Amino acid sequence: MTEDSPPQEIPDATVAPETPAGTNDTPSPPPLTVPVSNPGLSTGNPAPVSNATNVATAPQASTSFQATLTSQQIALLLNSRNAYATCTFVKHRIGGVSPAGVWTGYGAGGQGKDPQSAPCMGEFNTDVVKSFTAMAPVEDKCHLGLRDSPSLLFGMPNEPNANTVVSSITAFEERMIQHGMEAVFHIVASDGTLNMLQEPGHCTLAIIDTWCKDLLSQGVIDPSSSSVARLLVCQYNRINML
Amino acid sequence: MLNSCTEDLKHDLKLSVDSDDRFGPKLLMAVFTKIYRPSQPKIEHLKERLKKMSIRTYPGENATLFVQDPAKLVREIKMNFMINSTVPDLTTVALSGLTLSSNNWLLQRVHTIRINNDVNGFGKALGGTKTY
Repeated sequence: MTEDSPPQEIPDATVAPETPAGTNDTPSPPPLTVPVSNPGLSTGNPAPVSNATNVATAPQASTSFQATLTSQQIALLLNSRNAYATCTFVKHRIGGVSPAGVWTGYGAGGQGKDPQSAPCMGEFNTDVVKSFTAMAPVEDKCHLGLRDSPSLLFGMPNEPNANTVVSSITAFEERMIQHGMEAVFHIVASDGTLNMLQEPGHCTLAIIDTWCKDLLSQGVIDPSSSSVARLLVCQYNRINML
Repeated sequence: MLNSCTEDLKHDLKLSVDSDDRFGPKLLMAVFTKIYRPSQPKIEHLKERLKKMSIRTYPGENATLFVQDPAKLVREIKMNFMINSTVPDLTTVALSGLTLSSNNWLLQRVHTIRINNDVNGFGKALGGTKTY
Protein backbone atom coordinates (compact mmCIF):
# COMPACT_ATOMS: atom_id res chain seq x y z
CA MET A 1 0.00 0.00 0.00
CA THR A 2 1.41 3.37 -0.94
CA GLU A 3 0.69 6.70 0.57
CA ASP A 4 -1.50 7.64 -2.34
CA SER A 5 -3.59 4.55 -2.22
CA PRO A 6 -6.95 4.84 -0.55
CA PRO A 7 -7.01 3.70 3.04
CA GLN A 8 -8.28 0.25 3.70
CA GLU A 9 -9.98 -0.66 6.89
CA ILE A 10 -8.65 -3.88 8.31
CA PRO A 11 -10.58 -4.72 11.42
CA ASP A 12 -7.98 -6.91 13.09
CA ALA A 13 -5.19 -4.37 12.79
CA THR A 14 -6.69 -1.21 14.16
CA VAL A 15 -4.33 0.59 16.51
CA ALA A 16 -5.41 3.50 18.63
CA PRO A 17 -2.61 6.06 19.03
CA GLU A 18 -3.40 6.68 22.69
CA THR A 19 -2.85 3.07 23.56
CA PRO A 20 0.03 2.79 26.07
CA ALA A 21 3.26 1.38 24.77
CA GLY A 22 2.85 -1.74 26.85
CA THR A 23 6.05 -3.52 27.72
CA ASN A 24 8.22 -1.43 25.47
CA ASP A 25 10.82 0.29 27.67
CA THR A 26 11.66 3.00 25.20
CA PRO A 27 10.12 6.41 25.85
CA SER A 28 6.55 6.35 24.72
CA PRO A 29 6.16 8.11 21.42
CA PRO A 30 4.25 11.35 21.26
CA PRO A 31 0.66 11.09 20.23
CA LEU A 32 0.72 9.64 16.79
CA THR A 33 0.99 12.47 14.30
CA VAL A 34 0.39 10.11 11.47
CA PRO A 35 3.31 10.65 9.14
CA VAL A 36 1.39 9.83 6.04
CA SER A 37 4.56 10.38 4.12
CA ASN A 38 5.86 7.32 5.94
CA PRO A 39 5.45 4.52 3.45
CA GLY A 40 2.98 1.89 4.39
CA LEU A 41 1.29 3.81 7.21
CA SER A 42 -2.13 5.16 6.57
CA THR A 43 -4.89 6.65 8.67
CA GLY A 44 -8.57 6.35 8.61
CA ASN A 45 -8.69 9.98 7.68
CA PRO A 46 -7.83 10.37 4.01
CA ALA A 47 -5.96 13.62 4.48
CA PRO A 48 -3.95 15.01 1.59
CA VAL A 49 -0.21 14.82 1.70
CA SER A 50 0.23 18.55 2.12
CA ASN A 51 -1.84 18.47 5.27
CA ALA A 52 0.22 15.67 6.66
CA THR A 53 3.36 17.70 6.26
CA ASN A 54 1.79 20.51 8.19
CA VAL A 55 0.78 18.17 10.95
CA ALA A 56 4.30 16.86 11.25
CA THR A 57 5.82 20.31 11.62
CA ALA A 58 3.08 21.79 13.75
CA PRO A 59 3.12 21.66 17.54
CA GLN A 60 1.93 18.28 18.66
CA ALA A 61 -1.65 18.32 19.74
CA SER A 62 -3.44 15.65 21.66
CA THR A 63 -5.89 14.96 18.93
CA SER A 64 -6.91 11.39 18.62
CA PHE A 65 -7.72 9.41 15.57
CA GLN A 66 -7.36 5.89 14.41
CA ALA A 67 -4.56 4.43 12.37
CA THR A 68 -4.90 1.12 10.67
CA LEU A 69 -1.96 -1.16 10.21
CA THR A 70 -1.80 -4.46 8.55
CA SER A 71 -0.39 -7.28 10.59
CA GLN A 72 2.60 -7.28 8.27
CA GLN A 73 3.23 -3.62 9.00
CA ILE A 74 3.02 -4.20 12.73
CA ALA A 75 5.53 -6.99 12.44
CA LEU A 76 7.82 -4.72 10.46
CA LEU A 77 7.59 -2.00 13.08
CA LEU A 78 8.28 -4.40 15.92
CA ASN A 79 11.23 -5.90 14.11
CA SER A 80 12.71 -2.49 13.42
CA ARG A 81 12.61 -1.65 17.14
CA ASN A 82 14.08 -4.94 18.27
CA ALA A 83 16.59 -5.33 15.51
CA TYR A 84 19.40 -6.18 17.98
CA ALA A 85 17.50 -9.27 19.10
CA THR A 86 18.14 -10.86 15.75
CA CYS A 87 21.92 -10.53 15.87
CA THR A 88 23.66 -13.85 16.12
CA PHE A 89 26.92 -14.43 17.90
CA VAL A 90 29.54 -16.76 16.61
CA LYS A 91 31.11 -18.96 19.24
CA HIS A 92 34.80 -18.28 19.07
CA ARG A 93 37.82 -20.47 19.68
CA ILE A 94 37.97 -20.25 23.46
CA GLY A 95 34.89 -18.94 25.19
CA GLY A 96 31.16 -19.16 24.87
CA VAL A 97 27.88 -17.46 24.29
CA SER A 98 25.53 -16.57 27.11
CA PRO A 99 22.21 -14.70 27.12
CA ALA A 100 24.17 -11.57 27.98
CA GLY A 101 26.50 -11.86 24.98
CA VAL A 102 29.82 -13.34 24.00
CA TRP A 103 32.54 -14.08 26.52
CA THR A 104 36.12 -15.25 26.15
CA GLY A 105 38.43 -17.46 28.15
CA TYR A 106 38.14 -20.91 29.66
CA GLY A 107 35.31 -19.79 31.93
CA ALA A 108 34.60 -20.22 35.61
CA GLY A 109 36.60 -23.09 37.00
CA GLY A 110 38.02 -23.72 33.56
CA GLN A 111 34.85 -25.56 32.62
CA GLY A 112 33.88 -23.32 29.72
CA LYS A 113 30.25 -23.07 30.78
CA ASP A 114 30.00 -19.64 32.36
CA PRO A 115 32.25 -16.60 32.09
CA GLN A 116 34.89 -16.23 34.78
CA SER A 117 33.83 -12.64 35.45
CA ALA A 118 32.11 -9.67 33.85
CA PRO A 119 35.31 -8.38 32.21
CA CYS A 120 35.39 -11.60 30.17
CA MET A 121 32.55 -10.28 28.05
CA GLY A 122 33.55 -9.52 24.49
CA GLU A 123 30.26 -8.24 23.18
CA PHE A 124 26.86 -7.69 24.71
CA ASN A 125 23.55 -8.89 23.41
CA THR A 126 22.09 -5.50 22.69
CA ASP A 127 22.26 -2.94 19.95
CA VAL A 128 25.62 -1.76 18.69
CA VAL A 129 25.76 1.55 20.53
CA LYS A 130 24.75 0.11 23.89
CA SER A 131 27.21 -2.73 23.49
CA PHE A 132 29.97 -0.29 22.64
CA THR A 133 29.19 1.78 25.72
CA ALA A 134 29.04 -1.27 27.95
CA MET A 135 32.39 -2.49 26.64
CA ALA A 136 34.26 0.66 27.67
CA PRO A 137 34.73 -0.26 31.37
CA VAL A 138 35.59 -3.82 30.37
CA GLU A 139 38.32 -2.61 28.04
CA ASP A 140 39.63 -0.27 30.72
CA LYS A 141 40.02 -3.18 33.12
CA CYS A 142 41.68 -5.33 30.49
CA HIS A 143 44.16 -2.59 29.62
CA LEU A 144 44.99 -1.95 33.27
CA GLY A 145 47.32 -4.94 33.58
CA LEU A 146 49.10 -5.06 36.93
CA ARG A 147 49.14 -1.29 37.21
CA ASP A 148 47.04 -1.41 40.39
CA SER A 149 49.64 -3.65 42.10
CA PRO A 150 52.92 -1.70 41.83
CA SER A 151 54.86 -4.27 43.84
CA LEU A 152 54.06 -6.93 41.23
CA LEU A 153 55.04 -5.04 38.11
CA PHE A 154 57.64 -6.63 35.85
CA GLY A 155 60.83 -4.67 36.40
CA MET A 156 64.35 -4.34 35.09
CA PRO A 157 67.02 -6.50 36.78
CA ASN A 158 68.34 -3.47 38.64
CA GLU A 159 64.97 -2.49 40.05
CA PRO A 160 63.49 -3.51 43.42
CA ASN A 161 60.91 -5.69 41.64
CA ALA A 162 63.61 -7.86 40.09
CA ASN A 163 63.25 -10.59 42.69
CA THR A 164 59.48 -10.89 42.29
CA VAL A 165 59.43 -12.11 38.70
CA VAL A 166 57.75 -15.39 39.57
CA SER A 167 55.12 -13.64 41.67
CA SER A 168 54.58 -11.18 38.83
CA ILE A 169 54.10 -13.97 36.31
CA THR A 170 51.65 -15.70 38.65
CA ALA A 171 49.74 -12.48 39.23
CA PHE A 172 49.73 -11.73 35.51
CA GLU A 173 48.34 -15.17 34.74
CA GLU A 174 45.59 -14.74 37.31
CA ARG A 175 44.75 -11.36 35.86
CA MET A 176 44.54 -12.80 32.37
CA ILE A 177 42.26 -15.58 33.55
CA GLN A 178 40.10 -13.09 35.41
CA HIS A 179 39.69 -11.07 32.23
CA GLY A 180 39.28 -14.01 29.87
CA MET A 181 42.48 -13.34 27.93
CA GLU A 182 44.53 -16.35 28.94
CA ALA A 183 43.88 -18.32 25.76
CA VAL A 184 46.34 -16.33 23.67
CA PHE A 185 49.14 -17.48 26.00
CA HIS A 186 48.22 -21.16 25.66
CA ILE A 187 50.17 -22.23 22.61
CA VAL A 188 48.63 -24.99 20.54
CA ALA A 189 51.13 -26.85 18.39
CA SER A 190 50.85 -30.04 16.40
CA ASP A 191 52.66 -31.93 19.17
CA GLY A 192 50.66 -30.58 22.10
CA THR A 193 49.91 -27.45 24.06
CA LEU A 194 52.19 -25.15 26.00
CA ASN A 195 51.20 -22.66 28.66
CA MET A 196 53.57 -19.72 28.29
CA LEU A 197 52.87 -18.46 31.78
CA GLN A 198 53.52 -21.78 33.51
CA GLU A 199 56.29 -23.19 31.34
CA PRO A 200 58.22 -20.22 30.01
CA GLY A 201 61.35 -22.35 29.82
CA HIS A 202 59.83 -24.27 26.91
CA CYS A 203 59.20 -21.16 24.84
CA THR A 204 61.42 -20.20 21.98
CA LEU A 205 61.18 -17.29 19.58
CA ALA A 206 60.35 -19.68 16.74
CA ILE A 207 57.46 -21.18 18.67
CA ILE A 208 56.11 -17.75 19.57
CA ASP A 209 56.38 -16.48 15.99
CA THR A 210 54.54 -19.49 14.64
CA TRP A 211 51.89 -19.16 17.32
CA CYS A 212 51.28 -15.50 16.55
CA LYS A 213 50.97 -16.26 12.85
CA ASP A 214 48.48 -18.99 13.65
CA LEU A 215 46.45 -16.68 15.84
CA LEU A 216 46.35 -13.78 13.43
CA SER A 217 46.36 -15.23 9.95
CA GLN A 218 46.61 -18.98 9.48
CA GLY A 219 44.23 -20.20 12.14
CA VAL A 220 45.00 -22.26 15.21
CA ILE A 221 45.57 -25.98 14.85
CA ASP A 222 42.50 -27.88 15.92
CA PRO A 223 43.65 -30.02 18.87
CA SER A 224 40.60 -32.25 18.63
CA SER A 225 41.31 -33.17 15.03
CA SER A 226 43.55 -36.09 14.17
CA SER A 227 44.76 -34.42 11.00
CA VAL A 228 46.43 -31.01 10.95
CA ALA A 229 43.18 -29.16 10.50
CA ARG A 230 43.05 -25.52 11.47
CA LEU A 231 40.29 -23.50 13.03
CA LEU A 232 39.10 -20.26 11.53
CA VAL A 233 40.88 -17.10 12.61
CA CYS A 234 39.06 -15.74 15.64
CA GLN A 235 38.69 -11.96 15.87
CA TYR A 236 38.82 -12.08 19.66
CA ASN A 237 42.34 -13.51 19.53
CA ARG A 238 43.52 -10.32 17.90
CA ILE A 239 41.55 -8.15 20.33
CA ASN A 240 42.95 -9.99 23.34
CA MET A 241 46.50 -9.79 22.05
CA LEU A 242 46.58 -6.07 21.40
CA MET B 1 51.16 -6.10 28.81
CA LEU B 2 53.10 -2.84 28.84
CA ASN B 3 50.92 -1.62 31.68
CA SER B 4 52.23 -4.54 33.74
CA CYS B 5 55.82 -3.26 33.48
CA THR B 6 57.65 -0.56 35.39
CA GLU B 7 58.41 2.65 33.55
CA ASP B 8 62.03 1.68 33.00
CA LEU B 9 61.19 -1.70 31.56
CA LYS B 10 58.43 -0.22 29.45
CA HIS B 11 60.85 2.32 28.04
CA ASP B 12 63.41 -0.39 27.38
CA LEU B 13 60.87 -2.59 25.61
CA LYS B 14 59.74 0.26 23.42
CA LEU B 15 63.33 0.72 22.32
CA SER B 16 64.15 -2.92 21.78
CA VAL B 17 60.91 -4.37 20.40
CA ASP B 18 59.46 -3.34 17.06
CA SER B 19 56.10 -1.69 17.28
CA ASP B 20 54.68 -4.47 15.09
CA ASP B 21 55.74 -7.05 17.65
CA ARG B 22 54.67 -5.13 20.72
CA PHE B 23 51.66 -7.23 21.64
CA GLY B 24 50.59 -10.32 23.54
CA PRO B 25 52.82 -13.39 23.37
CA LYS B 26 55.64 -11.65 21.50
CA LEU B 27 55.91 -8.92 24.10
CA LEU B 28 55.69 -11.42 26.94
CA MET B 29 58.50 -13.38 25.35
CA ALA B 30 60.56 -10.20 25.14
CA VAL B 31 59.94 -9.61 28.84
CA PHE B 32 60.96 -13.17 29.67
CA THR B 33 64.12 -12.82 27.61
CA LYS B 34 65.01 -9.63 29.44
CA ILE B 35 64.22 -10.49 33.05
CA TYR B 36 63.73 -14.22 33.41
CA ARG B 37 66.31 -16.82 32.47
CA PRO B 38 65.42 -20.43 33.14
CA SER B 39 68.50 -22.45 34.01
CA GLN B 40 69.58 -25.76 35.49
CA PRO B 41 71.55 -24.17 38.37
CA LYS B 42 68.43 -22.31 39.40
CA ILE B 43 66.56 -25.63 39.49
CA GLU B 44 69.29 -27.08 41.72
CA HIS B 45 69.14 -24.05 43.99
CA LEU B 46 65.37 -24.36 44.33
CA LYS B 47 65.66 -28.07 45.01
CA GLU B 48 68.04 -27.33 47.86
CA ARG B 49 65.55 -24.90 49.30
CA LEU B 50 62.86 -27.56 49.07
CA LYS B 51 65.04 -30.08 50.88
CA LYS B 52 65.72 -27.67 53.72
CA MET B 53 62.05 -27.05 54.44
CA SER B 54 60.57 -28.57 57.55
CA ILE B 55 57.00 -28.92 58.68
CA ARG B 56 58.19 -28.47 62.26
CA THR B 57 58.78 -24.79 61.68
CA TYR B 58 55.07 -24.28 61.09
CA PRO B 59 52.66 -23.75 64.01
CA GLY B 60 51.14 -27.06 65.07
CA GLU B 61 52.88 -28.81 62.17
CA ASN B 62 49.99 -27.64 60.06
CA ALA B 63 50.31 -29.42 56.72
CA THR B 64 47.90 -27.04 55.00
CA LEU B 65 50.08 -24.07 55.90
CA PHE B 66 53.23 -25.94 55.01
CA VAL B 67 52.07 -26.95 51.55
CA GLN B 68 51.75 -23.34 50.39
CA ASP B 69 55.50 -22.76 50.39
CA PRO B 70 56.71 -25.93 48.66
CA ALA B 71 53.96 -25.47 46.06
CA LYS B 72 55.43 -22.09 45.12
CA LEU B 73 58.89 -23.57 44.80
CA VAL B 74 57.62 -26.50 42.73
CA ARG B 75 55.88 -24.10 40.39
CA GLU B 76 59.06 -22.08 40.03
CA ILE B 77 61.06 -25.22 39.35
CA LYS B 78 58.60 -26.19 36.63
CA MET B 79 58.95 -22.74 35.12
CA ASN B 80 62.63 -23.49 34.68
CA PHE B 81 62.08 -26.71 32.78
CA MET B 82 63.48 -26.44 29.29
CA ILE B 83 62.53 -29.96 28.31
CA ASN B 84 59.86 -32.15 29.82
CA SER B 85 60.48 -33.15 33.43
CA THR B 86 64.17 -32.55 33.96
CA VAL B 87 63.73 -33.27 37.67
CA PRO B 88 62.47 -36.84 37.99
CA ASP B 89 62.81 -36.76 41.77
CA LEU B 90 60.80 -33.58 42.16
CA THR B 91 57.99 -35.32 44.05
CA THR B 92 60.41 -36.90 46.46
CA VAL B 93 62.22 -33.65 47.08
CA ALA B 94 58.99 -31.71 47.49
CA LEU B 95 57.89 -34.08 50.23
CA SER B 96 61.17 -33.84 52.13
CA GLY B 97 59.80 -31.34 54.59
CA LEU B 98 56.96 -33.64 55.56
CA THR B 99 59.31 -36.47 56.51
CA LEU B 100 60.17 -34.52 59.66
CA SER B 101 56.59 -34.64 60.87
CA SER B 102 55.93 -36.11 64.31
CA ASN B 103 52.60 -37.49 63.12
CA ASN B 104 53.15 -41.19 62.44
CA TRP B 105 50.13 -41.58 60.21
CA LEU B 106 51.18 -38.66 57.99
CA LEU B 107 54.75 -39.90 58.05
CA GLN B 108 53.71 -43.31 56.80
CA ARG B 109 51.74 -41.85 53.93
CA VAL B 110 54.61 -39.57 52.95
CA HIS B 111 57.10 -42.42 52.95
CA THR B 112 54.78 -44.57 50.86
CA ILE B 113 54.50 -41.89 48.20
CA ARG B 114 58.22 -41.21 48.21
CA ILE B 115 59.11 -44.88 47.88
CA ASN B 116 56.60 -45.38 45.09
CA ASN B 117 58.27 -42.58 43.19
CA ASP B 118 61.83 -43.61 43.93
CA VAL B 119 61.90 -47.37 43.85
CA ASN B 120 59.52 -48.75 41.30
CA GLY B 121 59.25 -47.07 37.97
CA PHE B 122 55.94 -48.75 37.29
CA GLY B 123 54.37 -47.55 40.55
CA LYS B 124 52.56 -49.49 43.26
CA ALA B 125 55.65 -50.76 45.01
CA LEU B 126 53.92 -50.30 48.33
CA GLY B 127 50.37 -49.80 47.12
CA GLY B 128 48.92 -46.60 45.83
CA THR B 129 49.83 -44.98 42.57
CA LYS B 130 52.86 -43.27 41.23
CA THR B 131 52.66 -39.51 41.74
CA TYR B 132 54.28 -37.00 39.45
